[in-house]
Amino acid sequence: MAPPSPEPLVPGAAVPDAGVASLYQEIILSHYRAPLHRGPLVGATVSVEQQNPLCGDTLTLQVRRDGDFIADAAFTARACSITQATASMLLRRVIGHSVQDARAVVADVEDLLEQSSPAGVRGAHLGDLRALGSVARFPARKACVRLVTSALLEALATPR
Amino acid sequence: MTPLAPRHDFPLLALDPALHYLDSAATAQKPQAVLDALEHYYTHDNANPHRGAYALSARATERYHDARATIARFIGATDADCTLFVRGTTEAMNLVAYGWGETNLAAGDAIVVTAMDHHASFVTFQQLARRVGCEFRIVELTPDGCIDLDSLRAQLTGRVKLVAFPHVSNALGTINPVEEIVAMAHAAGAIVVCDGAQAVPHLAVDVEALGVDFYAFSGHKIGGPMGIGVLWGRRARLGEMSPWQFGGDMIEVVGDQTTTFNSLPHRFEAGTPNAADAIGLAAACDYLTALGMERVRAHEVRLTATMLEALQAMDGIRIFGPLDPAARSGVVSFAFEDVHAHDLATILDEHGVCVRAGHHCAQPLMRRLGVPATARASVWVHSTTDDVAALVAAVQHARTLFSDGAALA
Repeated sequence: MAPPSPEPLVPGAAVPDAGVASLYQEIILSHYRAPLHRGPLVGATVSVEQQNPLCGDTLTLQVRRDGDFIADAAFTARACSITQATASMLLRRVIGHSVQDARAVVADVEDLLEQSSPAGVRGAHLGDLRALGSVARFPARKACVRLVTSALLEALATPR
Repeated sequence: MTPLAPRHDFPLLALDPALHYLDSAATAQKPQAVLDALEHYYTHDNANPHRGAYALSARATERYHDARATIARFIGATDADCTLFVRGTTEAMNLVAYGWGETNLAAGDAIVVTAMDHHASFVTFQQLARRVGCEFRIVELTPDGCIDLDSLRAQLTGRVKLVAFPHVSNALGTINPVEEIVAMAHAAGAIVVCDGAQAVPHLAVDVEALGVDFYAFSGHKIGGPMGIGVLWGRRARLGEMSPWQFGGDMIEVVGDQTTTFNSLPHRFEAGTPNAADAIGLAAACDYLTALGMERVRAHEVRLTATMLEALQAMDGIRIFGPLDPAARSGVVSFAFEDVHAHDLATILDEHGVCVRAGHHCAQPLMRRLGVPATARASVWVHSTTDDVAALVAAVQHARTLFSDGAALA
């Protein structure tokens, strides 16, 4: 299976700038208003529930594995825009890809949050997820992204 | 509107004129007088209290002793020895649970808390119930966020030994009818533990008149340092308690196999006391006494009325707790269907407005309200209508941002 590369919903929207508008870019707001891959997922092989104990937000992430590939995935959440948009963008990016590729995507998202690697160098394959680079400026909100990435890693760690 | 206390009394606020600090319910900013008291203690009086035979140690002991007397007076306690120093309300609740609860509760007894208890009380007594094998009962709330006295009455049956509730709810702002609840609990044969963390900074509190058995509060919420708080208890109740922590200062005679313990308050204050922070807390009490707690309350009622009126005018807002400013403290919790509390708080932060967003250490309450989190704005002596106006403008910006992307331009 060779899935197509993801296309950004709004091309070029990932350029961080100052202020709250950079966090709430249209690309993030669009994913929040109309999230992709909202669950529940029929035929899920693994289901992971994560909570952010600091704020009480909850996220359930379900994955249907097909060997080393993520055949399908979905999420349900009672959570903020950053968490919901992250889930929408991340699942869109990893569905149809290998577990190994998904882990690499999560690692690159983490780099974006820590700004340890310029988005332009390794971020090209991230698509919409590049918008999360703006979260680096809002340390209190990194946990909102990590709620999703840690749920995905946990789901992928579960033996299929 | 002029603040009750000048902004320049608070160095952090003076250094950042654009900051709208509306999170005093989480922790209060510190008056210069408190910082001065800490510095003075460490510069002039610092030694280990109760230890040395030299003049400096005697002075440290005396200052520490005076601080306790000041703080006891501030909460209406005539017996300063019944005013125990702890790290804060959380440790106070744990001291009651371990010191009184484990000695006086047994399987078949019941503990009653309310759906608005802070985790410091809720979880502490829930876990006490599990340890001793007693029942843990929860009093439900009315739709406007008050303790449902019918629900309380229904829970006060059988062997109820302990009733815990907050004087003022940290998440709803509700001021509870303490005397009425105490009368009901005592009639049922239970002792009363009252969490005063959200009351002492805002209301004139008289622990003896309230009739409670234990009363706790945190120093940092009344402008004192972090890491100091108080558990006040009736002498008879403190006499029913076993020491919880052991070590220096709390002993009388240590034998090879047995030990006898010191008198109150030292019996429950093992180890070197936190004298500096006690002195800082006493300075905070003096600061509030000089402002006058009746004036503090009147100032906050006016501001809360302004805030409630402005927020209520917004579309789609849900405000929690009673809407009558006279029935609540200066804490206003709210939520929107379309803007999550965290997003709201982030946007407010960009406007220089500090509010708390989250479950406010009250997850059982959030479940009952049907929300994962709320945004909470809270006022104190330095707050003004400018702060409230900034809050309202920032909330409006957040709503525009989330309702239509065009506002991004």
